Amino acid sequence: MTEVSHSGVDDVPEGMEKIRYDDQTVRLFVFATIFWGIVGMAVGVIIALQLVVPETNFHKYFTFGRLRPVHTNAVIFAFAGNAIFAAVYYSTQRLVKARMASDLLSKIHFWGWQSIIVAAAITLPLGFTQTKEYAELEWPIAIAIAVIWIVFAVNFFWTLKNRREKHLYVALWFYIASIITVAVLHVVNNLVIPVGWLESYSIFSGVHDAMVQWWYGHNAVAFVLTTPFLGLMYYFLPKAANRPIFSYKLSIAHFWSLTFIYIWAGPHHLHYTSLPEWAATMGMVFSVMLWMPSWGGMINGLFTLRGAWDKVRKQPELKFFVAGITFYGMATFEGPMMSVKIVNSLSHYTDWTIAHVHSAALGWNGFMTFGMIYWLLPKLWKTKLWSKALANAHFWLALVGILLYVIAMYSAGITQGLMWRAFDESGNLMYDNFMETVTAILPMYWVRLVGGTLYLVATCLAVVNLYMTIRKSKEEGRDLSDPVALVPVPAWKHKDDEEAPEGADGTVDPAEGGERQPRWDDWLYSIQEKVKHGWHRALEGWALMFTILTLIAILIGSVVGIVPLFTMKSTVPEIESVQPYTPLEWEGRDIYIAEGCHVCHSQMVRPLVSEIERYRDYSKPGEDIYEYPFLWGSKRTGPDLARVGGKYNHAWHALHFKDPQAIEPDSIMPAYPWLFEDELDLSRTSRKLRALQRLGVPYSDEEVDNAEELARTQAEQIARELGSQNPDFAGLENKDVIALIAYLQRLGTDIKTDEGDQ
Amino acid sequence: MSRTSPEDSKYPDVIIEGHDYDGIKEYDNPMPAWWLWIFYATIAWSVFYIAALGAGWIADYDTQLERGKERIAQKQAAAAELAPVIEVNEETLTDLLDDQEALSRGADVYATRCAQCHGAEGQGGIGAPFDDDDWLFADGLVSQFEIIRDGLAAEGMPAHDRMLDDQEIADVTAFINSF
Repeated sequence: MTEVSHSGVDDVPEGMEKIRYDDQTVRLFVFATIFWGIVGMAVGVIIALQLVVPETNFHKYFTFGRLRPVHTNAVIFAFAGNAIFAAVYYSTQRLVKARMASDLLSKIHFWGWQSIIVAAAITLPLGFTQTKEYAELEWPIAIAIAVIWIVFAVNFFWTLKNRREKHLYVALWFYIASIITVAVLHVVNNLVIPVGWLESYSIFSGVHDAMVQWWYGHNAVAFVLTTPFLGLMYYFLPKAANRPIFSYKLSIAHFWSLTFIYIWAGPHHLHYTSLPEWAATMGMVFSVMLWMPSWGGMINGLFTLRGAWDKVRKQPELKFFVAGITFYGMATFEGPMMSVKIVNSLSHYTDWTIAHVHSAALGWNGFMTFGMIYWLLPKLWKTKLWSKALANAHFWLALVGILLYVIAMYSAGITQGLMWRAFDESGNLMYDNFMETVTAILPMYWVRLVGGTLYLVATCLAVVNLYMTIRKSKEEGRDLSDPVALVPVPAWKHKDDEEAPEGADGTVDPAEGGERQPRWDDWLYSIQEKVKHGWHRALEGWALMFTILTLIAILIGSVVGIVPLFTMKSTVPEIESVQPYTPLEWEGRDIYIAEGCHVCHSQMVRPLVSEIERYRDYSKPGEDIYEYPFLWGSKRTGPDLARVGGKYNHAWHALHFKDPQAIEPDSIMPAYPWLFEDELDLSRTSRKLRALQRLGVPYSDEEVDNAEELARTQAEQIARELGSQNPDFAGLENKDVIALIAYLQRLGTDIKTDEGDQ
Repeated sequence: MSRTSPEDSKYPDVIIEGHDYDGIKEYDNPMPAWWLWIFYATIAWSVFYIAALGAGWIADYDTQLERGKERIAQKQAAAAELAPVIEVNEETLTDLLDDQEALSRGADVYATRCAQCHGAEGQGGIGAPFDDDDWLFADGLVSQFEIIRDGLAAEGMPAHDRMLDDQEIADVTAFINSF
């Protein structure tokens, strides 16, 4: 069973088989991981700078609203994504003793995935977005993702079928769960109706759309950033430490509980929103129950190192693993805590969430990835790591970077959250000007910028180490052809067609006992034989059934959590006065989306007394029935806009777009001068309304057919009003800014509010 | 395989026969008891929470909001009793036009609440200018006071009755007449 890591094995002994592992694909994924890691982190540093120096939003395609999704997508799907693939391709082959099933599929997978990333990096700054977090990519790219994911799945499951190791190791369970769940999530959350090559509307609206999105969004965290990395940990940590896994029983318990429970937790992103409270409650309690299943992974990781702590000092990859697993433990305690409604009422929309995700992404995903890479480099390039000292420097620099980052963001988030809800002794908001709550945390934004930059610099040290190690490998003339392993021909593989009873491992020869009449209860003995090491052990030898059970586990929470929202009428009580947007307002909404306004501005007033004081009456589910897609947002870098309509006059908005600092000297909002130059494009308005009509928005055929004319008329009227309020802004009827103002002035005006004033 | 922590008998560290994956072995250790008990506790707590929420022992959204509103209303009522009661009419407001203290208080309010739309020097911009003698919407000091207090929704002028008390509104009314 031992791996022979040299090529050119010519004589294959009796009863042995020769496997050539495909390490070239792993090398490619390692390159891609590092490359996109640098890109994703660099964009992160840029947008952190944009938040403190608004002038750095210097170009239309270079604003925070457009770049923030580039950052999140690059880090999640390009950096972590490629790291996962590297881990899966390297470890699966060795765990099942089979080469990846198809070199062609491996190639398509690698290059297809990189093309998708490039397409994302181009389309997102151009403003083509479906708005839903981590599912922003427009439908042609979303389809490409589905195709490539299927290629990956086929390659993976085909490899499992070819396996010579009967039983699946725990790392593979996590890979299986990740692959099938991501497929389900991705397809459902990308159900859209296209209106152009890079334009579409979600088929769900308002509350339903929000629920589907956060079922997806939360489980992208679960099945892209958690389960594959647990799989990674279960292979690379015991390999690097050369220690047995602490507890097989714990692996089983925490795998199934994690897989089953995670999928329910999504609605905790929607506490105090228009989502019915019962759904939020389910999200909350399942999040709390998720705490120990998550910690099971941490325990199995850290306890595996018992008796090997001296190695942590010597091996940089183990340092990364230990710190990474520790961050995982912190983040998976904090997550359930933030899911508790009362905590969430403070943390939601603030930088607390940003702190949470970065302690997980930089600490858990980043460190597990780098730990894996430092362990892999010598294996993949058949030489020693160029510099252990540099790898250690990477670790310490990155650790300081993370700590600065998260401490700054915790402090910013909690400070701002408390300021938003503070009342003075006379019962008025203490900080009724939102700006005060921003200026208070700007110093923390600078600290975050420093922390993020340190982490990026530290990653550059990994690039140096990678480059130098490869050079060393070349200088030493290392043979990088596929490594070969000799493994015994598995007996169990050739017993398939024989009749029961047989041993669990196919070792018992049924013919051994000589002639024997079959008995009615033979099947019972056969089951007993199969499960003599426990039911789960039998299941580990049955990849297909394992996969089906995993699928069932994740579908239960998905169906029970989502379906009732669609079938129960009480989810969205009708509000008669709510009408669809006018054609011009709809175009304005599309500009709002393209500019990424929803990245910094929420449209969801929560039923909290401080929010009602600040933003007027809380948002009702019935107000959002025509919101395709929903635009509730998840972060308030600026104030909520759900009821901004009519709050200011057109001239205020025009000036605020042109030069926000003219109105609020300390404002960190970018200027949008191009809104005053770009011609309002109404050529597709009719088509857009037709698509919305199909989705159930009650536009008449007449409105759809005359959409452009209706939009022009309203634009002229608004431009006239704007010109009379401020002659500097006269004659803008054909510019984008008019549509955007029309949209903003409509927000929240459909229902009469009885709370607050304005 | 020898035990790594002999004093720790909870985890006997027995290697499981037949579990060998690319050299990775697994111990047959039990799950940590504390882990299992906390897991059960979170399940029990979840059941309790749902029951308690259903039975009304834990405040739901509506109840929380009602309580919050009551708390704030009490504060506001108490503050209203203490707030300076001033008589607002043309005479009292006219008196303030020469009251240096009132004008200086008004200047502070103006800088934080008004300047962004009406200009630091009252030159106007988004809002109406104050640096000439034309009043576009107001007719007299009381009318100015009322516009500041109640707003002028059609023109985008917000109401300020929740942000400023009557004395402050009177002060700023006096101040905008000083440009």
